[in-house]
Amino acid sequence: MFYLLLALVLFLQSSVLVGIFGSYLFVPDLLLSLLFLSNVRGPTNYARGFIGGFLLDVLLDTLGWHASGKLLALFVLSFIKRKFFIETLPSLMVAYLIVALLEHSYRLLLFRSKFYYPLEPIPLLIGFLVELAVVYYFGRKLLKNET
Amino acid sequence: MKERFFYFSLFLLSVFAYLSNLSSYPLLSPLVSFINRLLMPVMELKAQTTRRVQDLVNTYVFLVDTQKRNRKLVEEVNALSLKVSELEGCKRELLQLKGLMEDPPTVEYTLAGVVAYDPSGRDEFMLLDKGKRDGLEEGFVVAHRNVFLGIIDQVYAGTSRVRTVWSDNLHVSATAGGKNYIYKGGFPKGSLLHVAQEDELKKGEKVFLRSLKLPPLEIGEVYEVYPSGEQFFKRVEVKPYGDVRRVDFVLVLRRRL
Repeated sequence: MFYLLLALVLFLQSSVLVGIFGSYLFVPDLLLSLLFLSNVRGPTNYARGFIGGFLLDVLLDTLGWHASGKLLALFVLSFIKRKFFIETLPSLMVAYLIVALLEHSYRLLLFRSKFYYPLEPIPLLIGFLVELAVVYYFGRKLLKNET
Repeated sequence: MKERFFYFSLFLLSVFAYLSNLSSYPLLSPLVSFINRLLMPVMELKAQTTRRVQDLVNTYVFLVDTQKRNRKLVEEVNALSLKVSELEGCKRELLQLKGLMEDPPTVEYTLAGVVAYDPSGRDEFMLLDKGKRDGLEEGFVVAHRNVFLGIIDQVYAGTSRVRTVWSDNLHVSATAGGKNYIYKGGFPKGSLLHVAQEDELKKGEKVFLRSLKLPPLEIGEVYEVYPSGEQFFKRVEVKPYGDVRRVDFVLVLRRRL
């Protein structure tokens, strides 16, 4: 199930969303949302994160960019899980906010250390809001299923 | 712990791979080209999908933009049509003024006394004491001061009959509210014919005799406007100013309309 979803998300993120947002810098990171939701409970599965990131890198021809970002996000998530309980929707959203902000900032910094591309705040913000909406919707479902 | 160390090394390797562009290294190029060949159909599908989505988004943005611009242009066109109709009105008035300025109306007239009135009491006609002998002809305009009274419709040797503004058989060209209409006489009220529903004639608006060769004589004023006349026209009643039975002498303007 996870890998089917992963394939769908990878295709969406690398083709359809790039077409809508114009650049892969501003595309909502649905892969991060998927990894976060699948790892927020239980032990953190780094392998899935690395494979997802690596495949996305292959599709976008950015070897190492997404893979390292996703591993970093999972490290941060694992740290948060050890220190805090993520039992409610607000705590889930706050945790995602921290993880996503760190991951995106890291990836943008990494990108800017190599290339220059004008950052447009509005598409960036829209992309991030889409991500948050996805996590909110599926996170609520996840928590409901648990209860 | 070992697992975490392994993935941390993988993280560092990924960073290194990205920063040093590892995929272009000669040692790794066979592996990279193999992966690329393997994923070629996926990559093509991805490129096509991206292009199509981009086209769709661009078309949508273009259409929204065009719709907005279209709405703005329609508003501008409406405003301009209004301006054009205003300017047309101005042009018509200017042309009329120009005609009057170039050829100022100098009208010869004859003073005539009124000798008889309509016995029916409807003031549809009156008899004047001047006729063919005095050079009067059918169609001459009869006025009192600046008020239009009627038109001579029958001329005898020494007298002539005037069809007055109260007569149902009198039809003359008139101007009211900057637009030309037909004035139809009538008792106790005359009327303006073929006044379009959108014409803004108000109660009390003055109605003038329309003629380029005569001074603008007053016929009367709009007495009432009934919006529900025929399908396209309003019914407009006009109260003539001419009080036939108070008049003893009239001016016969020696010119036809």
